[in-house]
Amino acid sequence: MKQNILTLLALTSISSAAFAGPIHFDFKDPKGVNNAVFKLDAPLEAITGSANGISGMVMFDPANPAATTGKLVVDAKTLLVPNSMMKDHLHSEMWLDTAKHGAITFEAKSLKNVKTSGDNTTAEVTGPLTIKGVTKEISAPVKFSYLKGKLGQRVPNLKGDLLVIRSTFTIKRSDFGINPGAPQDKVTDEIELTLSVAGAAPAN
Amino acid sequence: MNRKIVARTLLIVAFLEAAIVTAYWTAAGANTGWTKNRVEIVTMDDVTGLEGRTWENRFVPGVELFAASLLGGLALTTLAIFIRKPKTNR
Repeated sequence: MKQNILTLLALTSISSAAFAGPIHFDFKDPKGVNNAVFKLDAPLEAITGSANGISGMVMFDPANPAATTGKLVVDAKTLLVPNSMMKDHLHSEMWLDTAKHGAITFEAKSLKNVKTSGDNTTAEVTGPLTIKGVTKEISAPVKFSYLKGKLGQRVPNLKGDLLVIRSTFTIKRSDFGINPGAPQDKVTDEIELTLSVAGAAPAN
Repeated sequence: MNRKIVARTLLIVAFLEAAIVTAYWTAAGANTGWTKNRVEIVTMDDVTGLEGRTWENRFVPGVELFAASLLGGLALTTLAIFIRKPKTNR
């Protein structure tokens, strides 16, 4: 009888592990650490800024990272640069037009070249990136760090997991209609984007 | 006599302006970029290893303000030289 119960428990745990499926990570960060940094080369000094209005959901399966999908949203209105006048230009109709297009979105559709080592997974993610209402399919290198049971260290009294995503890639501002007429000797066409975000999956 | 006093005053003002602006620009971090009115503060999140970024309102004079002030000093010096130089009547 005892052996039967143990067998049943073992089978239950095996089947629940097998059908655990992806974990849903919410990227609305209560600590406000999540950020997206942009950099454009320009004479005298590069124009850099960051936005911390990040939200979105990523479905990550530690047993099968290749199946990761999800969507991240950057609130373009939270984008700041070191100079107020420059910030006004950046938010204006000619540049990002944040009044009309308040969200920059990226949807992860598929992953390739997936390599996992311990809790870290690197891959190349592909999906549509939407900036200023223009959507383009892009591929970018990405690194996932799955921090099992670490949510409590970040948010006291909350159990669960964390997923850290890091990615740096380059886009062309002319592809997205971001002031395409701006002379490239004053500000380059390439924009380097760096995403550093952490999502939380509280345990049920 | 008045011309000499005016010229000397202008030279002193030019020198003081250049000295004060240089000292202020240096003390504010000798920023060789453009003028900033907010500065990014980067902090490390120990659990995730991510760098958090917040902004702090702070005025940091840029190289264009420094250069403009030095040019102003140079203009005052030039003016002082012209004022000091007596007119020659033939």
